[in-house]
Amino acid sequence: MSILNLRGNAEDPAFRNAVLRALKLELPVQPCSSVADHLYRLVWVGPDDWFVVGPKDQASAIEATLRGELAGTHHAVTDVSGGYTVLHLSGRPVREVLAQGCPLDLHPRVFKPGSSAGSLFFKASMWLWQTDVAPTYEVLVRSSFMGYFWLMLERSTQECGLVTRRFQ
Amino acid sequence: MLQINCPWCGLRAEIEFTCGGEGGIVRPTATETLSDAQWGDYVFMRKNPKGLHHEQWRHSSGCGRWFNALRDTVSYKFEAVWKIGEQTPAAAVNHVHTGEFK
Ligand SMILES: [Zn+2]
Repeated sequence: MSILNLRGNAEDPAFRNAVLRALKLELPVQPCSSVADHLYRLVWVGPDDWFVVGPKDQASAIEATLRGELAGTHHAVTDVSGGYTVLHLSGRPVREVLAQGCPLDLHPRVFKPGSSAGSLFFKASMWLWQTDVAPTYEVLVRSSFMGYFWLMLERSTQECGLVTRRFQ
Repeated sequence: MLQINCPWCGLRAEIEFTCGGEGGIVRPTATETLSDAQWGDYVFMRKNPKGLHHEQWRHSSGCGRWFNALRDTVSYKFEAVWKIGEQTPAAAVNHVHTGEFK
């Protein structure tokens, strides 16, 4: 995956419009929200802080497009693809699996497609968002925690089985 | 599990947060004029009350923001939370640090 960190002033319309022009997605400015299309994910991680997730090997292109549109506004774009990785988790038991190590309330009444949250999976920090009602979640984890995260995921899925697939 | 109300994210589990101790302590500006006693007061002396305490907390696993909290050290109840720079809520006015050093 291509993963970038975007910082800027959410209250500045010029900043929001530049992101919209670059990614064709409305910047999520509500706390704990996210937007997604067939290419990109834009995830709120703080009031001036977002993750941009895109297809593999696109980080430089996304960075260049963002920088081009954001020129003149107060911003920072950083390619962090080497430091993070994204997992897609889907299936009926996935809420129960996550609940074993995550304190978030993931009931569909509370957490739904378009929601996002920074939280913990056991001792590892993660950023989580939901992309559909299946439910499918995407989890952004620091690469250095991936071994630990995977180990805990394997343990948490012992009762329901774990099927792995590689995404492009 | 104790839940803490992050002013940005709403109610979240305590394990997502870090306590940063007493809140509102202002770094003195004219440091060359401070006496040793004043420096000591700024660096070391904390209120440590039994009861309502103005604290700074950070939603470290969530949005990463620091915020103000008024917490009862006896019951552990959070009486108020407010963002950095936001107006102090009425409940907390008499408990926030004045920024003055002895
Ligand atoms: Zn928060």
